[in-house]
Amino acid sequence: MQTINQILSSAIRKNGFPLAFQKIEVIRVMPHEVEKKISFYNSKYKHFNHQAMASKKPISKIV
Amino acid sequence: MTINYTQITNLYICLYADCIPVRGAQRSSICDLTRGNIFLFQSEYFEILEYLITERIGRILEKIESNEEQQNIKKFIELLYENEFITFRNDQSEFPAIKDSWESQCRIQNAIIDIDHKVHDFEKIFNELDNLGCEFVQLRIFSDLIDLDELTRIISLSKNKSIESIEIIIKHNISIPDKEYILFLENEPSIVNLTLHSSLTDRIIKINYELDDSRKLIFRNINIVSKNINSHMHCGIISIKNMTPPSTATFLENKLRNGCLNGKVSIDYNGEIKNCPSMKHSFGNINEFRLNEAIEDSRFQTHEYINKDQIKVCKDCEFRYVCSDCRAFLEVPNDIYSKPLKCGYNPYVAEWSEWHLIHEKKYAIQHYGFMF
Amino acid sequence: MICIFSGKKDFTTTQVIKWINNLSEYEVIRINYDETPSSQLITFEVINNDFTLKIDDRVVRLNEIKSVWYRKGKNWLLNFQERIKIKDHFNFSEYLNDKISSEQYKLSEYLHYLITSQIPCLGNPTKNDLNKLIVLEMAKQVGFLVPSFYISNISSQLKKILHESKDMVTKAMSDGIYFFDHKQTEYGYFSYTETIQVHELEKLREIIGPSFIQKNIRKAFDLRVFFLVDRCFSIAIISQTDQKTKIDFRKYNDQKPNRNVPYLISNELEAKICQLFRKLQLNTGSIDFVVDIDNNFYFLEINPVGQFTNFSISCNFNLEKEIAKTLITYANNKSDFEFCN
Repeated sequence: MQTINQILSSAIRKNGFPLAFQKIEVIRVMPHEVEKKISFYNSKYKHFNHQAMASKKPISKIV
Repeated sequence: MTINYTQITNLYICLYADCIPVRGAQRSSICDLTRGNIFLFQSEYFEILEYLITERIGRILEKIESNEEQQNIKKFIELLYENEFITFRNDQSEFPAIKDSWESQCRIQNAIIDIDHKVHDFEKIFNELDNLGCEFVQLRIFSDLIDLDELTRIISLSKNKSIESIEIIIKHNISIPDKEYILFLENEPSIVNLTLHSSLTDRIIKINYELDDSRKLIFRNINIVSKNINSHMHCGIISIKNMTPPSTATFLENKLRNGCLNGKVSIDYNGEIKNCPSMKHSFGNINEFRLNEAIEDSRFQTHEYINKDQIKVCKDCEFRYVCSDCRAFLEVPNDIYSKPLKCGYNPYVAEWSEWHLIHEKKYAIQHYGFMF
Repeated sequence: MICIFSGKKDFTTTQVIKWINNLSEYEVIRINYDETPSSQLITFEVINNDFTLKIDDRVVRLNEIKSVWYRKGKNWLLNFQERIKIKDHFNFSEYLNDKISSEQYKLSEYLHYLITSQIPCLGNPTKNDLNKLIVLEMAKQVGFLVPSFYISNISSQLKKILHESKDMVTKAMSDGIYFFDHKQTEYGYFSYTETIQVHELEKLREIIGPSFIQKNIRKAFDLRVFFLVDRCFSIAIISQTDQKTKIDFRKYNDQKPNRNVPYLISNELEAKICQLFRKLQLNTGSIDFVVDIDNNFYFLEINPVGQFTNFSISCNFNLEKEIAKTLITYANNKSDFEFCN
């Protein structure tokens, strides 16, 4: 991650980009293949979720 | 952490609105709604905490006579400051409290559906849950009746509806290899929890994915437990594990409503519509009645509103607003306001015990027919 | 019916739809800017200044829509157009593709003009992308304190300013970098408001891209106010004790999240906020301030499409319900609405 950041930063600095873009945070995102496997599209509400939403409290206490 | 008391002598101690003190008999808690933590302290300091936020710091310290007491109070203040529960401000009115209310956009948030010897009419059930805006469904399958293909069929009936996710508790079929269960899970993104019970051992199958754009590790687990979950009688366990880390919505719901029954409708293994499958009272059978009719019953709704401040013993417990409660199995079976049977915590001495070993619970254990 | 123009990933929209279903009998149609034709096919007919839409199988006439929420995105009501590539005429192909885009864009502008002149709308179809620098000017006109700023494309001049004022930050004049490459690199790229020091400009060439630097306010906390028609909902974000979030609270710390607590703003501040939103012809949005240790409120920016659901939940403001109620009130009292067009 550091390497990518350094490469980007120096490329941007060389080209005289605005100061606002000299520091860029680069992070790994979910690969498309993975997203296809776990994302959930609720067609009733036309809402695309990266991952199906779970209940915040336990639904039962049987386990 | 050292605080410069001369610098802040004219300021007030302000407890952040998302840090809520809850008084217990022996111990009290501060529920941190943002960080999801519970901070415990001796209840003698509860009144001190209430007093600390009423006057300017200089005046408070002036009024304390003994040096030892002053040191103790300062230590307490420092502890609160270290945990980032408090700040020092000139004007307290700028930071009002969080409104003490709870509302939901859906009449029903979650449903438990039990299956044992017969399969219910899931098309009817999911249509009716959809009309109520139900978001979460938990299927508990106690027998071998449902195989993975049948389960796939049932889940497909929940699509294109209000349901956001499904939890499944099903008997482990040992002849099915792990990878088939994994494939099943991967084909159903709406399943957020899969537990296989009555297995040979206790283990977890971890399916790891990568980081997503909010920097969390995405994973899905299959929980395998050896416990033989063959009926709804196994439900109702109160433990630290089953408590909900405090957050604004869940904290207020646990405080103002019944943490377990609020917004819940259930269908037991016989198709009886109930608040929860472990409760006795039925509001009709799913084959004859509609869910929206059944939940109109005033008794159904009363159960949703029984909160911890109305329940004996619980009302003195520092965990009461993070506990989801249980109204099905009670310490005093005919008293709907008695504490959960399966809770082994005694707030009067601040100690946990194994609930089934507690002498006072013997009558109730016999009444419900629990064998140990 | 009530129509919501949004994006498919927007969770807030889903919550508002659930509230509308709970509180009224109105049907809700959600149109996402980022759907593919396979999940949402839009066909339309415009006859003079009346139009009929068909979204998947649902026919919608303009007069059936009782209120609208412009939540997120732009250029809704248009299907994704495949790009063309003509062999040996690459440059013309690119030009043609841009031409088709501008056809789509102008039509979209017109359709939304028809909507906003006849139907009560929350939010605005064209104002999602405000010019932050112009807004700073307008904020000053309304009487807000604005942290002093300096803009130049001459690095030696910028160095001079930084030499004089040690405590400065730099940020984008449009929006910060927020880009995801799921397909090739699988990285996300972000930029935030950052501190800037003289030594960081050492190796730069003399003429650089236009750079905006601003005085860094020693803050006590951040303040975000959500504005809805005529009411303000204010949240204080306690980001100060955390090094990571000290400058830009959006650089979230997942391990130790910042506290979001309700805040009571003065009547004076509320009046200025209403004034600024009216000046911008916006009836909703969020406005960000930084509050210093002497309780001075410095205006930072307005975001017509703010993320507020996290704050709404943690402070128990239930903004999703308030928005639903507003859309229902608009729908019930269509004739009472003040149209700007």
